[in-house]
Amino acid sequence: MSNINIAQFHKVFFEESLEGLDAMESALLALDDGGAAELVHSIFRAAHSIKGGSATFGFPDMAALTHEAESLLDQVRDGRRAIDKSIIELMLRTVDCLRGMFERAQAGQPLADAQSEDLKRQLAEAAGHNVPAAAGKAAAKPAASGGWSIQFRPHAGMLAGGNDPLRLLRELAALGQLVVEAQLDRVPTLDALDPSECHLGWRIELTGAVSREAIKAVFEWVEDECDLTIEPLVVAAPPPAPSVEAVAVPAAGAGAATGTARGAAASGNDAGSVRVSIDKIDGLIDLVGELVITQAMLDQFREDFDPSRLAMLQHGLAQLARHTRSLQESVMGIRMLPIGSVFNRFPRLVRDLSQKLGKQVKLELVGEHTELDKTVLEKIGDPLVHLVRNAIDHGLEMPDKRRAAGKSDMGTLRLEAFHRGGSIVVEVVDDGAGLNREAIIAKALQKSLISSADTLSDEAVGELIFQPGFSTAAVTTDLSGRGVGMDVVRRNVVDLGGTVSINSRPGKGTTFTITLPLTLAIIDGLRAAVGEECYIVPLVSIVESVQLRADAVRSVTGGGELFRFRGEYLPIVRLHQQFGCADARQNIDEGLVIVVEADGTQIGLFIDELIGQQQAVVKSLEANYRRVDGISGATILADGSVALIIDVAGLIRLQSRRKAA
Amino acid sequence: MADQAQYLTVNLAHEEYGIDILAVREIRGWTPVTRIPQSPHYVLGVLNLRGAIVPVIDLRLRFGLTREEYNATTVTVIITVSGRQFGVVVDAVSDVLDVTSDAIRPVPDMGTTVDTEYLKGLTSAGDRMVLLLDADKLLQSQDAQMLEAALNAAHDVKAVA
Repeated sequence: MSNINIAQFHKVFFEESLEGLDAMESALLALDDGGAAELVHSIFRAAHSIKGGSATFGFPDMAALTHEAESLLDQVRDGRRAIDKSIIELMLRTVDCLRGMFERAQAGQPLADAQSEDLKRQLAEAAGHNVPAAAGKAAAKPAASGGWSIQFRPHAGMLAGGNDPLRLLRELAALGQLVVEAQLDRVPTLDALDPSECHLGWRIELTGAVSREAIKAVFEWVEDECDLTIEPLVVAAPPPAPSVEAVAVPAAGAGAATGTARGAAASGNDAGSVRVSIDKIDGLIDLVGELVITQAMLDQFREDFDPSRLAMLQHGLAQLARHTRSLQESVMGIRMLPIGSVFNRFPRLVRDLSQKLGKQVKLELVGEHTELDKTVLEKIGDPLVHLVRNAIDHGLEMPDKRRAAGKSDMGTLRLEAFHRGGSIVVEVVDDGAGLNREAIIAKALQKSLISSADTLSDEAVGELIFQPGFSTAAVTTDLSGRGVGMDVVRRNVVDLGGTVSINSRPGKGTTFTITLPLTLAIIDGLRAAVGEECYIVPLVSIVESVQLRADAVRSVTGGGELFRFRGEYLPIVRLHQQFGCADARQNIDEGLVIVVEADGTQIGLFIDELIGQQQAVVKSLEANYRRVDGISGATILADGSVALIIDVAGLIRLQSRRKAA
Repeated sequence: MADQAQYLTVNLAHEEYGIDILAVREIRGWTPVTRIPQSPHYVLGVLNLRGAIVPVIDLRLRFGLTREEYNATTVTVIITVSGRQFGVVVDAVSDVLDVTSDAIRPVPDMGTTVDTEYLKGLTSAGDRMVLLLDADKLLQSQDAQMLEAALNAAHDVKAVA
């Protein structure tokens, strides 16, 4: 056992524990809204798994803190005390503190800090205050008694979990002197005996100065799989309920399992793995089955082909194409995760923020099941947090102001995700005061972002808040108002290939709309030949392709070329010059100009010819090499060779930089 | 006992170079690659290595030698260094050598056709001399190289002062 490197399990442990914490948090918030008792059980189970895990993997500080939390939860679970706001608050702070500990554990730093010690004390106090008698007794017991009487009855399935009762007895023997008496009453007759089940029970007398915790630690992992009673040896009458540790969770091991499953359902954690629903995998297997059948059908033609069966061959090939396409879509679907995992963090954020600011906010989450590419999902969290903070801090008014404006005290903040065309739209909607046009214009004038306010449309005013360093907040709070925010939001979204827009009506509220591409991993593109080389131009950025006459192109001083397109003059970028391709066509009238657009700017790309359309699986150049200007990635063509994908926005930036230089 | 390591030896312009065999991922025949714009001249392009896009450099060009016509023995050695893969085109592969660390001599700062910064040391196998390559340095971006040079210069300045 000792030669197993336990550190290799740390990653999985962290992942599961963080999911457990998420589950705890959402259950706590649900409790706060008056949820059912079942929630307490799920919180308890999550805490219990984390405690057991952290003790096993060598994080005693974490285990100690969770232990205190668990004791408090235990009292709530047994109905010995009612859950109230203070307990929920304390538990939420414990969740935060544990998250911090996990972060430090991942970074290899010491776990305990002043905050965790303080919390531990508070938890212990909270657990002790309400039941002073029990606490007093617990403290007195180990000293008073000379030992313990332990009743240990494993459930039938305990052996299947890999737990050996003998090992537990040996561990107990290490603690003090042991008298063990086996109880054979449940052993069936030989013909009914299943040797893989445990039918024995034990009555154990342990003498020595041993604490109850030490004994419980021995049974830590089998707690859910046995009936266990620990009583002081010398006390004649059995003590009251608090010390009876009979845990009767049905089905061995289910406690820990449901804990994690719940966590998984609640959050697709960001760590380097994806949880895939069984449905998706079953769908994939079906498709692969279809593919194999089609392949077998096509295989027949290899044996003996005669032209009369040409129609069948064509049919088979069409089927193959169809199946490949659906297989591709399904496989891409594995990367798609519901946006709910990002939305999950907001109930907590909104609750904390609104309490802090003294505002009343109702959060509505709509479309949590909308699926997004994992990469997009990971990066959309921070921008959304910014927008939600802004909405609560700047957008929604204080209750008295709302009342004065004839609105209800409770402000509404809605996060909504839905599909529109080939994009995902995420909206952050508040029913607050809307943008303060005057304040924004005043600020913009002060920062000389604009010269006069007269001609500004509402859209243009909205645009101003996306400028770097722009904030109208009179006082900088720790929430927002430092002027870093909206520009970062926009940059993050643009990096993902999306857009942000704002729509504000004074007194009615503000809507931020984020539009994101469905996936970054596959694009539709056109293959463009330049000399002997072939590049992929993303279809979304292509406006039109035109063949120009040589006299349609104007040269301008400085070497640039312009051509007239729909009433405007657009610059021409000769791709062979840009990329240094050999043997490309030089004369404008021999090749093609494709008009491409990005960030609202259009240019003409001069290429030799378009070869055809194809779907391109985007591969990173940077993974093994580095970024290349004007290239966004690479893809693999049907013949196995590599083609580079053109970064239209990058080319336009290069072009304008050259113009400026 | 001194540490022992194995080196794959490759031929390049009548000299023999050793590459740490633990860094070698595979050896494959020369196949045409896709050129990458705006790359140093020694980066020939990228190839598709079972779905991964892997850059390929010509070791002759990297070392400032003239490029040979590629023929039947020309091979691409795929090397993995700190998680990144790249291919190195050499004239031919020849041997695998066991080299103990005490048999590695420092490179004298002269004589070889290759810039000594890419070399870890040299050793002998029988009467042949083998130059051991420092694979980490072969595909450094020029920025990193310039930065390194600047840092070294700064160190020199400090040493003088």
